[in-house]
Amino acid sequence: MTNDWNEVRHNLDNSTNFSSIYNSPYYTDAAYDKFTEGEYQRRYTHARRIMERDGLGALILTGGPNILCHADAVTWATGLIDARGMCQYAVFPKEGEPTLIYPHSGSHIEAARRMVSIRDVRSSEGGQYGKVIAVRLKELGLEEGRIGITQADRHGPEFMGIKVYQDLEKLLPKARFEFLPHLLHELTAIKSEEEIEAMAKAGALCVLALEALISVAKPGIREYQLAAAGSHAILNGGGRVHLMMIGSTSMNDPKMVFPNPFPSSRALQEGDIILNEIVAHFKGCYAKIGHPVTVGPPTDEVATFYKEVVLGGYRALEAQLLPGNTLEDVRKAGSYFREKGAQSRPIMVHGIELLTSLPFINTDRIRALPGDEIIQPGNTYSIEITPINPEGTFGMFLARTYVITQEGYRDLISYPLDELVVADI
Amino acid sequence: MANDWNEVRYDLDKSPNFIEICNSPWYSDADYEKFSLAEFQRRHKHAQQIMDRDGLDALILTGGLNIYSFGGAVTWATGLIDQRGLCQYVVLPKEGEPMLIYPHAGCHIEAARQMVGIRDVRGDQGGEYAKVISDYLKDHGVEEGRIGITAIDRIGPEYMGVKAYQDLVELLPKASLEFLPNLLHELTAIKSEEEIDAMTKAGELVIQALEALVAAARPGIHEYQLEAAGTHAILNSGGNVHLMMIGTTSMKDPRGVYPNPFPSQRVLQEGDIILNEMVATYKGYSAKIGHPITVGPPTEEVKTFFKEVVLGGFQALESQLMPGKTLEDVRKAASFFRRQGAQSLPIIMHGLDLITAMPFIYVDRVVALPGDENILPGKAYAIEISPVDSEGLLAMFMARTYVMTEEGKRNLTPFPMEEILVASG
Repeated sequence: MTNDWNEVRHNLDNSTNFSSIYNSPYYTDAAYDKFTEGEYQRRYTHARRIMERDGLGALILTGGPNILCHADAVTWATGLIDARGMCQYAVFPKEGEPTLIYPHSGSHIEAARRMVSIRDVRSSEGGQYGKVIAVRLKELGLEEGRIGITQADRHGPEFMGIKVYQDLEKLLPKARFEFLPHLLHELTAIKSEEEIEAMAKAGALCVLALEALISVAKPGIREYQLAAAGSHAILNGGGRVHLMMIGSTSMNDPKMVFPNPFPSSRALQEGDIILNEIVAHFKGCYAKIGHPVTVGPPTDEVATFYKEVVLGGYRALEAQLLPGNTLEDVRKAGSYFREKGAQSRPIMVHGIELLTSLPFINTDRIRALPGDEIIQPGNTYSIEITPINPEGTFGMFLARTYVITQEGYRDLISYPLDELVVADI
Repeated sequence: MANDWNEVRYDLDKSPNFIEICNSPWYSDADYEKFSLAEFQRRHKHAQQIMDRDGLDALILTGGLNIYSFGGAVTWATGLIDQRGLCQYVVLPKEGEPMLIYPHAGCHIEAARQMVGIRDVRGDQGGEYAKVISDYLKDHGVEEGRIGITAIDRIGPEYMGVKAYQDLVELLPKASLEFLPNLLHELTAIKSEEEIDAMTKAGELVIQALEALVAAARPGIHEYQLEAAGTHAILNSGGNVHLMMIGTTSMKDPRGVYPNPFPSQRVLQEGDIILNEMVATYKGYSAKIGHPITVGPPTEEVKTFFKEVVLGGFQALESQLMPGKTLEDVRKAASFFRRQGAQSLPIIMHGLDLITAMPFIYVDRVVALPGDENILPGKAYAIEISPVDSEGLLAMFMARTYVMTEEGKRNLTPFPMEEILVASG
C-alpha cells in the first residue's frame, strides 16, 4: 500500500500516489532531541518481561492528546508527541519490532517518521486502525493470541475508540483482548536517568514559565495573557505545555481557591492574587510548578496565611517525602493545615508516570496500587497543596516536583519557596 | 450526588465533600466571551429539528481536543473548550435542555460551569460517563429510544471510548444506539452571523501569528521558537491554537514540500524558506493562514515560482470560489499548476465545520456529502495549496479562509498575497 517517493515524485498531485508515500527526502534536515536507543531498549525489555510474566503475545499501546494522557504509552514506546486523533495506536509484540499506526498520510507521516525512534511507521489507511493493527498482529502470528490494551484516559478508565475495538473483534475473532489499566504505571514508576534528566529540563521550563508570568503580571493584563506568556516561555525553550492553569482574584474579596483551568478575560487589578499550576514536558516527561503571585504587595492576611499555613504545610509534607517512608507518613503530615486552623483541598501529593498518575495522597485517603506504598529511589512525585481558609473562600496553590534518590530527593524545580512572589507593577 | 458548597465549605478536605461540589462562589469573577443565549438556542433547536426529522429521541454529542476535533459537537453545543478526557460527552434530548458531563471534580467543574453557555453541568462520578448519560436519558423517558452518537474524530470515523459505549449498551439494553458521522457537518455547514464574527476574530489572530513569526525569524532561531512566537500571538489576544505547523529548509537544497507538523530543533539559516500552516480558533471557530517566508532575499527560482505558480494558482482557485459555482468548478481550476509545468500536493481546498471538514477538493477528485456540491452563502472554506516543482523537491504552502456571502465572498484572513514575505533578521 506504500509508494516509494522515487517512483511517484513527478506525480504527487495524484491522490493515490501521495496518500501513503515513503522514502522521500522530506524533513531529513529536521532535528529532534530523542531518547537514546539504549533507553528505548531498556523500556522494551521491561515491557517484554511483563508480557512474558503475564502471558501476553502483544500489546496495543494507546495514547492521545488529552489532559489525562499526554499520549502516554505511544509516546513512551515511540517518542511521538502529536495531537492527531482521539486515540493513537502502536503495536508492541513480545518478539519483533513495534509498529506505529499514524493517521495522517503524505507529508505528515514522513514528518512523523523523522520524529519517532522506531522504524515501522504505517499509515492508518484512511482511519482503518483496526485493520492495520490486525494485519500487523497476523504478520506476527498473533491472530489468536492474548493482546493487552493500555489505557488512554485514567478517567473511566478509557482505552480506545469503540470503532477500532469493534473492527478488531471482527477481524481477529480468535484473539483475546484484555484491558490493562495499570501497565504504564508499572512500566514508568521507577524513572531511568534519561527520564529524570528530561524531567529536570521540564522543571527548568516550568521555572521560565513562572518567571514569564510574573514579568507580565500588571493591572490591565488579562488572565489569558498570563497563560500566553507562560506558554511562550515553555515552547521557546523547546518543551511542550501540558497545563497552564491560571486564575486571578481579589485578595480582599476572593472568588477562587485554586488556579483556573480556563484562564479567562478577567483583567488584573492591583490587590489581586494570581494562582497558577503550570506543567511543562520535555520529550514526553513532566514537571509541575505552582506559586502564588500577588499584584502589588500582599495584604497582611495573605502574607500571614502564606508563611504560617501554606509554607509550613508544604515543608511538613516535603519532610516526609523520603526513601523508605510510606505514603501514609506523607498523608499524616497533611494534618498540619487543620492544626493551624485552616483546611485544604483534599489532594496533596500525586505520582507521575509520564504525567499525573497514581498514587494520589489526599488529606483523608490514599489511592495507590500494590508496590506504591513505600517511597523508593526513582519514584517521582508532585507535592501540590491548596490550603484554604476555614470559610472556604480563599486558598493558595503551591507545587513542586521531585525525584526520590538514594539519599533523599531531588527537587526538579529550582525555585525559591520561602516567599510569596510579588509582581512589580 | 452534588454537594452544595454552602453545606460543605468548612470541610473541603474531606474527599467526598469536595467531589462534585456545586454552587460555590469560585470563579464567579472570571470573564468569558461567549456566544449569546439565542445563538445556543438556535443550535439546539436546529439539532432538535433534525432529531424530529430522523426519528431520534436524543443525541450523545461527543468532543475533545485533537487534530480532527476542536471540541467537536461538545464545543458547538456548550461552549466548552477543554482537553479533559479522551472524549467529552453532552446529552441533548429532543425535548429539554442539554447536559454536559464534566470529568474533573471540585474546582475544575466549578470553573467549567462559569465557562460554558448551558446550565446543566454534572460530574462524571469518577469516570462513570455512561451511568450519568443513562440516568439522564432515563429521566427523559427515552431509555428505550433511538439515540444518535456524533463523531469525535473524522478519521475512522471514531465516536466514543469503548468503555463508555460498552457500559451504555449494558445500562440501556433496549436503547438503539446509532453512530452519526456527519451530523455536526449538517449542523454547522451554514454559519450564523455570530459564528462568522468568531471566525473573523480567528482570522485576525492568525494574521498576528504570521506577523509574529516574521518578526522572530532570523538565522540562529530554532523552528520551535517560531512556533512559540506564533502561539504567543494567538493566545495573547484571547484565542486558541489549533495548528502551528512550521518547517524550514534551504531554498537551494530543499527537504520539505509542506509545513512540518512537528516543528523541530533545526536552526534557521540565511537562505532558508519557512513554510507555515497556522489555525487559530476563537470561541471554537477557526481560520487558517499560510504564507511562505524567506530568511533573507528569495532566490530567483523561489521568487519566480511564487509569482508564476503559487500566486497564479491561488488566484485561479479563488476566482472560482463564488456562490452559485460548484466544487467541481474549483477543482478544475487547479489544472493551472500542470499548465505552468509544475505539480502540487493533491489537496487544494476544504470546508470548515468548527475546523477542517468536508468537503475536500483535491486536484483529482472531490470528497463531499450531499448538499456540499454547491457553494452557498454562509459556507466557509479554506483554500490551501502546495504547488511543488516538477522534481517533487521545492514547494510552497499558501492558505486563506473565506466565508461565502450573497454577493461573493469575504476573506477572513485579509493579509496581502502578492509577495513572498522576507524576514530581514
